[in-house]
Amino acid sequence: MVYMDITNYVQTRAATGIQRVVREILYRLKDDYHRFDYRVIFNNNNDQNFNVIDPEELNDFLQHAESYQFNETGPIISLDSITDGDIFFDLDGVWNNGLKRMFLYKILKSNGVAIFNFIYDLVPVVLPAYSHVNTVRNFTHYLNAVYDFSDFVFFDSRSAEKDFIAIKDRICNDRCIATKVVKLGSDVTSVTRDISNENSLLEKKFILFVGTLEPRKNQALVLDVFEKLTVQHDDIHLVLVGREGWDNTALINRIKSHPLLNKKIHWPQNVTDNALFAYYEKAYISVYISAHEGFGLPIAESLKHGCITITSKNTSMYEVGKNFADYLDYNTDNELFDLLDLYLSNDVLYQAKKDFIAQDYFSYSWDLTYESVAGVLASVNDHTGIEPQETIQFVVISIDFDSLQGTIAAVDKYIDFVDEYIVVTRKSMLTQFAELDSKNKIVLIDEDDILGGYAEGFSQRDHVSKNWLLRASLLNLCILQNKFIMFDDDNRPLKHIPIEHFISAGKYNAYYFYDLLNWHSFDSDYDFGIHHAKQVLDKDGFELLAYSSHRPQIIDTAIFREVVDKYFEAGLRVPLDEWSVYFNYAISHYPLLFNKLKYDTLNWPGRCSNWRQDYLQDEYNFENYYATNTQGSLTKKINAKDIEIRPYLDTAQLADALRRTYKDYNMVHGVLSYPYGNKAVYVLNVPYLIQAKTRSWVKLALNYKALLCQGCDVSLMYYINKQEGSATALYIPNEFADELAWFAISCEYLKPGSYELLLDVCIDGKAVYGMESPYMIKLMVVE
Amino acid sequence: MTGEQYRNLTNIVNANLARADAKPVIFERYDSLYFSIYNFPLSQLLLIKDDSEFLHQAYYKMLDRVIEPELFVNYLNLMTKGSVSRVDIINGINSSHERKMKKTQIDFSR
Repeated sequence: MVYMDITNYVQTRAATGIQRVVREILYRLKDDYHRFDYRVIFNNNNDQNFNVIDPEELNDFLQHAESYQFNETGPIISLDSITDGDIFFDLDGVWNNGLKRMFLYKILKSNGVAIFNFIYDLVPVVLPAYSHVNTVRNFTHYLNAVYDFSDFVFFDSRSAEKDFIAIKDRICNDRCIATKVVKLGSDVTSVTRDISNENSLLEKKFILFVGTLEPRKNQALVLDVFEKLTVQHDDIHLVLVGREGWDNTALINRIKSHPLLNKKIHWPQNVTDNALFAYYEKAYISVYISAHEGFGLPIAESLKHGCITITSKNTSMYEVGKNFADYLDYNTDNELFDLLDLYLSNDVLYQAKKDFIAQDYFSYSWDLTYESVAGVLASVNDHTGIEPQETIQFVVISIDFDSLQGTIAAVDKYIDFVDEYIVVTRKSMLTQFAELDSKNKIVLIDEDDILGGYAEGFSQRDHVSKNWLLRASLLNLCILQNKFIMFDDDNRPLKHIPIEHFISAGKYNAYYFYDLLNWHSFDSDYDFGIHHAKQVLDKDGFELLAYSSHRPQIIDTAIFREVVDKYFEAGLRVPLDEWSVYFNYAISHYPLLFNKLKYDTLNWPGRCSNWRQDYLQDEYNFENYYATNTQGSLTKKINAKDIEIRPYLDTAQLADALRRTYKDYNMVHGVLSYPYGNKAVYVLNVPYLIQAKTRSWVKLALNYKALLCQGCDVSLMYYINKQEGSATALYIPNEFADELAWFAISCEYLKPGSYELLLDVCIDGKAVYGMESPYMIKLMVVE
Repeated sequence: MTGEQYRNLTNIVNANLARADAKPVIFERYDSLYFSIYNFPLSQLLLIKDDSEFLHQAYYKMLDRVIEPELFVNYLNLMTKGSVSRVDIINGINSSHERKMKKTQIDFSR
């Protein structure tokens, strides 16, 4: 039996925020009683009993939530009747309830009840100044209870999950809590989509801001910018939709006494869902520049209505807006003004962006959200945990004898649970591979034998597609066991590895190294494999972590078969990162069977300049082996990596420290414009000043837009000391492209000092401005 | 399940508040977290040594909220002078309309 406490929804009857999630899930739950038993309950201010909402009454309540009166004589259950094998699922905003969770969960756990939670954000803990003191106190108490008692936590974004994990580490909580990120829908149940509104505001050209008026949402910046913008664009209006929030007296007074109120600035009250959708559909642009979000529903709702959406590039907002939204990296006046001005002044760009959103943006549905949650609740009792075992097959695909021999020697030395090696290689290499030496049994497989009909044309495929096809074809091996370790011929253990690295506490361990959404390279087949994996997984609403961590990983054969059944054709059409596809599918479907762990691979990346490391290894257990790696003892290898990475970490720290300064002093270029004939490139998020350590590279994550540049070689580059610096190729797949790039600036050989960098764009080898570029960054290199 | 984890968590919150130049939050005592505010033992409140902390905890456990800063200063002055006792404060809150609305209960027998 699953118990869901909706006390907060019953008390507030709100239709937005968390209560919208509760409502949408309950709508679908009420018709889904055949999948699992459930009871929707609420507490009436006491510590012993819950009122049970009858399924029919639940339906009436959801239809008329604002005014519904519950049946006073409905059934009541006591705490003691929630017992062993039941699940208590807190998905509502329960922290302000009188029935405190430390007290409640302790009793439930002692009765054998599993605790499930849904956490939407950790704002009261990570940015408590934005919350009322009572919320800070109550949420902290609640979060402590979750860390102490919860068995499973859903999140609405990877960003919220990362905050949860980071705090868990900092408070030294080592409980194993399974987690899953689910996407929130942006369609609304039971709204009749009638926008034949007599509201004359809808006929105007307006910027829309939807969100409670509170400091975190940053409406003050929008007002600042609008006041300047309206001087140049006198036909533009600003519409603020949202109720008065906490601690915002100054902003409210400013709006209420503003000379443009009800002339150019509008604050309509009591906006219904219907009216809100009409605003989204008619808005010229919408803006949502919050300082911190758990998800950011207004971004999804705005894009779903085809509206150009300017938002902040922090916390979860890029997960929601992806490349369809426009971003302020530092929430500065310059960034917002220039972006709005760019669209207001450039009809071609405006229309291209609108078309891009209309054609390619897809929104998540509440059906998907519900399935992601209900699927877990319905399958809890199906999984009894992964049985420990003494030995496991190791499976590798290789055409490099020397590399594989070295890796097998390392595995033989450090891993004592190898059942046998299965080595898949080309027919032409079988004779050489027969010479492989190991203390364990080696079974050689001719790749043609498992590829079957796909052997034809196999050699013409790219590296990533070959891997996909070969790994999928492993399922044709009758000797393949029900679980196995998959590895590459350069994945070498560095020390003794117990089997608990792969299976612990009845779960598979899955090691990630990146967030797929944050991968911004487009140079190699590997990069495209990452991007395509992200696309197919995202369409299905799955998690988006990168698992090609260049270390051995354990695979469940039955789940792998499901993955291959689902994505085999996709992997034939485009390169797909098979590691990320497998694990994200598996974890999204069977989150109780997996622990998601940060990777532990030395030399991945091979060089620190390859990409910006968002996750740093806490320890090194495996090595991504290159012949050029530092050789010798583990200590020597780790020391060499520490020396290499130190200036990069310092540079990242310097960048973080400057963020506040950029914002406070408006030290960011707005939009860098590079017109070139009928083509144009626009670059955003470039600060005036960068600090970096010598012997490092700066990697700025910059958004760019390109118009009519498809098929051209386009790169963003800089001049330093009147010489050309590094160039970063921009990926431009279509007539209109809106992407992110890691703009690379080398400080590897720069002496400490101050440098002026002129930023330019090259299109088919021709510089747009050359040394006359009007866009300059001051680079301070420190020792 | 340790008080140290709770202390670490509350320290993180207060450090984040300090970073924003905001006042720290006085959190509940760890050993009181496992009790319900619908049946809170009086002895838990009376065992608190410090008057200032007593006031914060009494409001948390009897009214489920923080005490207003002005009221806190006023009560603390009166308690220091001996004009008001802890029992007076508990009885005052206990008979308040707000407490009755919220249905919190002090268990006077524990």
